[in-house]
Amino acid sequence: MTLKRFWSGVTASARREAERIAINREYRSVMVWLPLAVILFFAVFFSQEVVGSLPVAVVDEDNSYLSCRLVSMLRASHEVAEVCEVADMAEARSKLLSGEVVGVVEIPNGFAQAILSGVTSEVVYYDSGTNISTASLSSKGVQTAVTSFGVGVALQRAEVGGAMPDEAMAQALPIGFTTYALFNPWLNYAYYVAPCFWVLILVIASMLSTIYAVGSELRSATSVEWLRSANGSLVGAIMGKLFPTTLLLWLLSAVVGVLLFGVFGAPMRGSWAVLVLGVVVLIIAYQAVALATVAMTASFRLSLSLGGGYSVLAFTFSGVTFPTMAMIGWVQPFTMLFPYTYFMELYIDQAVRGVEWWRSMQDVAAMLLFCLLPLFVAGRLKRVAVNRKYWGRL
Amino acid sequence: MISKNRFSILNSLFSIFREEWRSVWHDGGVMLIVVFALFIYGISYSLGYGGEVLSEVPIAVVGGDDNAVNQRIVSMFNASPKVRVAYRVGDIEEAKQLLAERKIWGVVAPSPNLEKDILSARQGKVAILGDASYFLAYREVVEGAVAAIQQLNDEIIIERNGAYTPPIIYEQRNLFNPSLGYGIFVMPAIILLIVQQTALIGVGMVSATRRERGLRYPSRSPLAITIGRTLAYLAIYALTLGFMLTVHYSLFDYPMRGVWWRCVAVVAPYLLAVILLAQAVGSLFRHRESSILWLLWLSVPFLLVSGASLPRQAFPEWLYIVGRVVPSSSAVEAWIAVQSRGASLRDVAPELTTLWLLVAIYGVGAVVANRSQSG
Repeated sequence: MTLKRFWSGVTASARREAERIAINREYRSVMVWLPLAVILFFAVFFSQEVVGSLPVAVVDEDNSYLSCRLVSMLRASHEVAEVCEVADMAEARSKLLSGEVVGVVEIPNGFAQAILSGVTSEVVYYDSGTNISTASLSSKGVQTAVTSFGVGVALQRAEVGGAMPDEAMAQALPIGFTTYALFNPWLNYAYYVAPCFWVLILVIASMLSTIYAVGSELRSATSVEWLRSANGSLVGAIMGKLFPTTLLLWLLSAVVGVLLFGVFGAPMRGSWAVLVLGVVVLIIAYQAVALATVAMTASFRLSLSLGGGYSVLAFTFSGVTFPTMAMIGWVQPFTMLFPYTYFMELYIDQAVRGVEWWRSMQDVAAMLLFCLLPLFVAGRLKRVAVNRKYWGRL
Repeated sequence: MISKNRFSILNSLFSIFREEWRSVWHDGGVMLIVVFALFIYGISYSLGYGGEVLSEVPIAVVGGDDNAVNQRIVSMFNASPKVRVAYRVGDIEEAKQLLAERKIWGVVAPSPNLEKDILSARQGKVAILGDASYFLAYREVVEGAVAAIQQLNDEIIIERNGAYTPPIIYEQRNLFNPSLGYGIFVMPAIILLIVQQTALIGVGMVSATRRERGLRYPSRSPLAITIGRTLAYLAIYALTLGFMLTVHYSLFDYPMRGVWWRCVAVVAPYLLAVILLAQAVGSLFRHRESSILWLLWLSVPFLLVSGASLPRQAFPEWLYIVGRVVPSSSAVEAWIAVQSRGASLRDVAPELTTLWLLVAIYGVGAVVANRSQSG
């Protein structure tokens, strides 16, 4: 086949696909409007950027001047500004069980007495623990308030003993420490969580659109017509067919990019070129997996079930929320089976941590391996496309 | 006459039930989604989160062994379950390199004159730097390092004064998830969400397939069709979800603090609402595969609006309120309260009310949708 004939086939196949998109309302809704709507949903969902104040109950059994001061320090902590005082532990327990509060601070009876007479008194924070995001945020707030209260008391004791403020500080806290959040000093969760979901939507879109594009030809028994449009070349037919949807996927990625870096103002500390390259390869990698899935199952519906499951599972197995190093040993290798994992690593390295561009080439290479999949199934895909036996199968 | 009538109603309910039951079990595609997906996803996710907690996160300490305080800091860190000192580095640049290579997740940098300061009763300074691009790792590094330094402080004070009575001891108890395990936190919500997604997609697939093939139920009454179909899916999910909430739950040690009948009181209206919603929505799908195409996108939004992963304080309140139209939102909250925390039904009364309200609304929707499928 001459090159000219090949390219005319690609163009014809692309034109044919564009027409299919134009006349099929479901194709358009599912491949364009729905992902766009979900992407915008995440933009609204994460618009707050930081977690608001969490409700915490305080049981002040002491009810003294000092315990009231501790309560007001708790109120001032911005993670737990919503402090509600309750009468006793029974009431606090019921609020904790129903989820009305995320934790309970108990200031014991005799709190002030103990402090004034120089003995230790214990403050306990009971956290429900069933939501670890609220647990870590609220406990950080409570712990900071209680320990700085304790340091305040220790300082006063030292100063009463005749120490100067500096000396008092060194006596109460021989080693002082400062904590720094590297790469995310604002601890803004939207910069880190929203991209995980947005990219997941791009992944689902790449997967489903490709399965739809090819699988629906089998379902409607038009696959021979499709191959013929590309002058019989399978490669040309696939290239042409995926061209319009790939353009749409690039547009979706651009929308995500504008939202993330433009609207949300997420940091971009590394190489734009590598990030864009990463997105392009990520999309092709999922398109490749989709093609392989259709070829192997030879069923539109089964491909959708398997491909859909594969794209959604990537989230858990990428280590973005629950780190890979915390997973069970033999489960860890499974994280390598999803292009999403490599892309998120690339995104975090380039955009968030700003490491050298070449460090992410490893991730690009890993995603490129997935792009080779169609080579192994091309023969079968052609057989499936021309064999009547596979048509109209549900 | 009356008894005969009753008999025929039961008879027709039974035949609708049988027909629906068959359209699930005689259809590989539907079976994969309605029956097996719950096990496949449930087990996969549980294994993914099976490590439960992050521990021994590798960090680097700046500075050599040339002074005693640095040595003590390192041994304090290594005694902590949260972090371990994987590298000793000369300067912060070296540490940055290790961070870029993903070999460490935090750096502890004692000031060069730390030992001198402490010996001369001045306050020494230590900087704790955590990689905040992965939140869980950041939390472990900071909590582990801070706790270790505080412990060292106590020891230094005791060495100086012979004894030490800190004014306040702070203690945190995570009542219903003592080690703050990740699976224990997310899996109860995820299992219920899988039920909703598979029911919506699976029932949608059955409805569309019947429409495509022009099949009709053996009854003229949309109400009877709705009841018959609902019973069929209730039976299936009672078995599969029942398995997940008992056997799977025990295998993975998920919290089971609920009294059994309270658990049923939460799960029953949830299943009803989901199955009725699935029938109502199912009439919108034109093709057999349409339901997957339309609904796959919504798994994550459904999880998010429930407030079970990120707390409701983290996103706009109106989204949380609108999200109540999805059965999983109320069910997940009620389920975690009852089963993970051992709450009473009175504690979850608002969620249960919402669920029963949804049963009524989606029940009407299902009857309307099933009109087109009557014989």
